[in-house]
Amino acid sequence: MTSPGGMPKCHNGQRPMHERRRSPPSDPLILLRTPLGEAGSGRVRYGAAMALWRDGHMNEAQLEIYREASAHDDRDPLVMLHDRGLPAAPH
Amino acid sequence: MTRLPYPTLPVPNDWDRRGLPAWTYHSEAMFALEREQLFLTHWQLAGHECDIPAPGDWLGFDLLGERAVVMRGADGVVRAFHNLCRHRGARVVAGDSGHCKGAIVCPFHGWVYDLDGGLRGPARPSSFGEMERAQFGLKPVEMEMFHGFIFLRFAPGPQPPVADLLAPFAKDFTAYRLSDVLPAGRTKWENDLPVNWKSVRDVDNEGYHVAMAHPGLQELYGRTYRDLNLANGLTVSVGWFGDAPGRGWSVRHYIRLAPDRPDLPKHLQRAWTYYGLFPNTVIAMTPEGVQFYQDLPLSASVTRLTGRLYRHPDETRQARLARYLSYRIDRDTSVEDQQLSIWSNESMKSSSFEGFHLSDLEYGLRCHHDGLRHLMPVMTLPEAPPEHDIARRNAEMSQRSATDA
Repeated sequence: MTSPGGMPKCHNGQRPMHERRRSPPSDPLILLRTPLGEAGSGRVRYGAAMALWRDGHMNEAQLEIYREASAHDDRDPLVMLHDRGLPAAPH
Repeated sequence: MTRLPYPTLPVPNDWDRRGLPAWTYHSEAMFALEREQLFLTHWQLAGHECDIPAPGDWLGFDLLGERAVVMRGADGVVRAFHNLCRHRGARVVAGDSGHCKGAIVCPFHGWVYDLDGGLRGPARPSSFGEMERAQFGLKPVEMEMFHGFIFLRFAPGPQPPVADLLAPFAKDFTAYRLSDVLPAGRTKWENDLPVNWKSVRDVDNEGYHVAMAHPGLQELYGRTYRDLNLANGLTVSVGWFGDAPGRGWSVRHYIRLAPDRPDLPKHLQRAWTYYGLFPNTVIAMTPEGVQFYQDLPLSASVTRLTGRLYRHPDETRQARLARYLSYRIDRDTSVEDQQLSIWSNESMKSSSFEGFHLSDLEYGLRCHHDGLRHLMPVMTLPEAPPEHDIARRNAEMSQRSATDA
């Protein structure tokens, strides 16, 4: 055994995971309010919306707004809900 | 000579010094058999639990059409799943590693999974009529942990549970405190090489070539290097350094800076150790660092060399420097070995190639090849059967072996 390689070639550019230690919130109501513009926040809000739908706190039309908004981290689902005459998400 | 506490297989006085026949390194049908009967049925090392410290952190692991994701759940438990959405099979995560905040969201249609793999809900739920969500969680992949290392197996196979299989390594792994390591800098590396995976392993499975091909390693530990073969496809290789000063820049400074580890048993002090697991994985330790590396075939003629690097917690500046120097030594060694693998692999296409004639110092190759022959007896045929007949011949020979046994 002589060839461990040691040839770093590709890395995904993220900060090393040991530097990203955190205990992320799991409460969907908190995740639903993930700030606009944060990378990946559209999907985080949609994932939280699905939990609220599963638990009966959001209807399918509201959920679909969050799905549509999930590809746009800076798009506010609350504005979209309002524009389409849907009730606001639970607080 | 330092006594080593492993139950090793002695090199016989008289043994068949031939290697595998050349055709096994180029046959597509043989490679298909290796996929089914070797790679998917044997433990593969995906990473260490320190790579995914927080809930939602994940590692990807692809192997020959199978795709796994190892994820730490909201409850802190590490689980492995097939990286396939239960809706249309899309990857639910893409890449080597990452973080899912709160949920796994499939990028295709938007099915959402909990971090434990359960289906939270499908997109447009009413379009599925009555749907039992519990039936549509991500499918689990068999996973076992050993001193923090995460092993996966895509299909049941002949190897025992990892803790039983690697039991001969347990005392050393405990001494090295492998459960406590942390990712080191650029944790993951990979490099694709245009050779069959066995040509990579053949080079790595012996130290006979060190004196000639690896001037850095030879200077570091070549005089003391030993390869040991254990049962069940395990190997231990070890070289001790410090008995002579190094002349090359990296080795000279490494010997000076490598930290003393009086906490380690004597046989691990001032040593580089390599712990091999059949068929394609090695976990390697030095006084200052830890890594694993593996040969992952992408096809019959392309192999991905890859691995991950780790450091000890509370690392001193001296240890960090030593780790950098050992990386430099390994980097040179890898380049040298890659060239040897290419030459070995291409030689098997030559009409004048008559096979290996192995030294006692290369008995590790024989052990590895025997492991392959046992699983796939068609590899014992000196001449290649017709490609379309290889699977049938292998099944027939396996049946005969089982009957004889």
